[in-house]
Amino acid sequence: MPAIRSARGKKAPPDGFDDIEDTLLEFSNKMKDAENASHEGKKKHEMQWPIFQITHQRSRYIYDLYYEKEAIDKKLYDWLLKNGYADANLIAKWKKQGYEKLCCLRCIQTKETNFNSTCICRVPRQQLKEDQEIECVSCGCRGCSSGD
Amino acid sequence: MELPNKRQKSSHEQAESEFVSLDIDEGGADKYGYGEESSIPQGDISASTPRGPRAHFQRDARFDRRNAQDRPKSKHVLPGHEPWILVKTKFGRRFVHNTATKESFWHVPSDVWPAVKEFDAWEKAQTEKEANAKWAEEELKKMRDSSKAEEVNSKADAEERRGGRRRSESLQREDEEAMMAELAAEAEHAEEQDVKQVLKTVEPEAGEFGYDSEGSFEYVEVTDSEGEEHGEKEDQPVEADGDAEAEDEGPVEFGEDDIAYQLAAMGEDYGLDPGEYGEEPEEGWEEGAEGLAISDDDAANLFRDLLDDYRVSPFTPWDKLIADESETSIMHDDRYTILPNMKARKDAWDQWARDKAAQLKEERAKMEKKDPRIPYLAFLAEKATPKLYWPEFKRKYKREPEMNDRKLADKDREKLYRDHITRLKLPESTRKADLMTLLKTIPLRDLNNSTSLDSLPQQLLSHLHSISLPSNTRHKIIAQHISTLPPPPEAGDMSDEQRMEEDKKRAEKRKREDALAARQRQVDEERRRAEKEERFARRGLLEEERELRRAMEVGNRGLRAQLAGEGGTM
Repeated sequence: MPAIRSARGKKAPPDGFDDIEDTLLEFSNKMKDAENASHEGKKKHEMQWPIFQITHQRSRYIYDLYYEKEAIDKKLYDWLLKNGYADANLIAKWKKQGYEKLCCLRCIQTKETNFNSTCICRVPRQQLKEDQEIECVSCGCRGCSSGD
Repeated sequence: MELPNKRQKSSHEQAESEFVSLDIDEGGADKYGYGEESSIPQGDISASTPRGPRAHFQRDARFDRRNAQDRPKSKHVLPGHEPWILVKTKFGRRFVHNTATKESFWHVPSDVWPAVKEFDAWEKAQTEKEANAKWAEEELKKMRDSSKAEEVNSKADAEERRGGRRRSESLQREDEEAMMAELAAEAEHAEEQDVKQVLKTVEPEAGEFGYDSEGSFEYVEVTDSEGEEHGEKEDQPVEADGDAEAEDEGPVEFGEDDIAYQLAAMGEDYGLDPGEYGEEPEEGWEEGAEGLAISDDDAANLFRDLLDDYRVSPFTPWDKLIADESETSIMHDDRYTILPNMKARKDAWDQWARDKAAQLKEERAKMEKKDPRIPYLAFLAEKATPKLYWPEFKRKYKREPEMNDRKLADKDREKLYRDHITRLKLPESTRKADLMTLLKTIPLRDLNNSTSLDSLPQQLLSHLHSISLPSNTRHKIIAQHISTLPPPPEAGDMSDEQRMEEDKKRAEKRKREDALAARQRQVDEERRRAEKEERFARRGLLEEERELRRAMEVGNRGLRAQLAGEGGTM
């Protein structure tokens, strides 16, 4: 049985955490709200969309700070990943060509779909019909192809 | 939202000012030329072709709305000019009507003018009396309510209120008794009620036309009340001799050109070029009229300035920044609109955030790091007591910021607390001695006779020994120690780098000396060993020599006995 760890003995977060703490707190508040939101009048899968969206936003925020703006250092970035503030797997996909805007990992999981294909949101807008509005089932994405 | 308020306010002001001016404006009527056709273009029409007010207005489509609504409200006989009467309308305008000839004039003919003036004076007097009466009544009531002692105060108050109501000067000077007498005397006037009513209904609306506070053009109507209004704006009694001036000041018909001119003037006030507002004329603007062209770089830099000015954190997400709709949002700044689209703005933001973050990092690296223990130790010195165990202490002060500082681990906090409590139980002499030792270890550069007690070096403050003594004792000891210290070293102005270099040099020198000493030792050792060996060798030689000598010494007993003896010894 693993040792039960209390918050007391936790190490202090690395330098620079103070700068982004407020924003992360806002994200976690939003997440809490989304978790506790009522399911009435929603489709079954629609319930989880906000969760995915907030996860995506938060991961994107940290990804931008580290890779685009270089505003936080590696130590803090690793700590954030380790503590679950960002999804490392999702970020790993963003670094690959063609996946720069990927909404969630489920949308590229071809094995889980009937025709072994990706989600509709991965289809470039050009190849869709005119005025075709989509909201993907897994995360409510309206299109995350890199060309859009 | 803004506009209606403004308008209402201005109309109100005008109504008030009109009230005042009724008192002042005695000769002003002449000056502002109610009958001066030359100054008022529209006046020509009405004066030359006598018509009823409504007929006149129907001629001009612009005034239709008002004409339809305006109605005569009250008529007043002008004593001495019998056929003429003065008619007031619902909207507060007035005109003279000749009952004999059935003629009406907006502009009072000069022969009737004195009568109208007289009427004005009378009306003014009535109004004043009315106001007086009101005030006196109030005053009376107050006197009844308040005691004699408070009377002086209430009088002063009333006077202030009177001022606020913009009563005339003469009124303010009048004393109470006179007013009460007046109140009694004038109660019978039936007409006074009439006049009061007229004034009340008329005045707020009279302010509606003419010029509003910004001087923009609205309605220009030539009526008597407007002339009055204009005189009032001057805010001083005007003499009848300034006729020429009056012509300039009178209301002017605005044409398209005037409006264009005014617009241009306003544009200049705002520092705009003609191309930046209004529609384009047929020939186009002259060169450079369209405003200075802003290059893309300038636009981006302006946007960056905007971000700097609003002290935006570079760690804010862009979505949050543009979702902000409060008053302080950057979106309400003009510079926000300089960049053409959202993409350009986002690019500028990204670049700015990256630069800003780098700059922040640099600044922080330069800044001196403060030991997190210092505030905690100060807190301990104040709050720690041997009566509380650590868990109790922690529970008691869990809300304090010093107890939640993330820079200092909980373990360290606990350790410091326990150590501190243990030290508090030591005899005072030991603690004093410890403090003195600590003070002596601090280099002269940090602690010298010019150090004040408020700016003690970190090295001292972050040490547990510095808080072991009660604060007054500690301060005494430290002050005493400081007073015995020499002034700061001369090289105090050296930078840290220089100091480090010097330290390095010193270390190298010491190293060299050490090496030299070690070599010396080695040489000595070698010499000693050589000497030793020499000694050994010499001794060996001596031994052999002795043996030889012994062997050579043959005694009386002969060689044989000698050899045998030797063999025996061997």
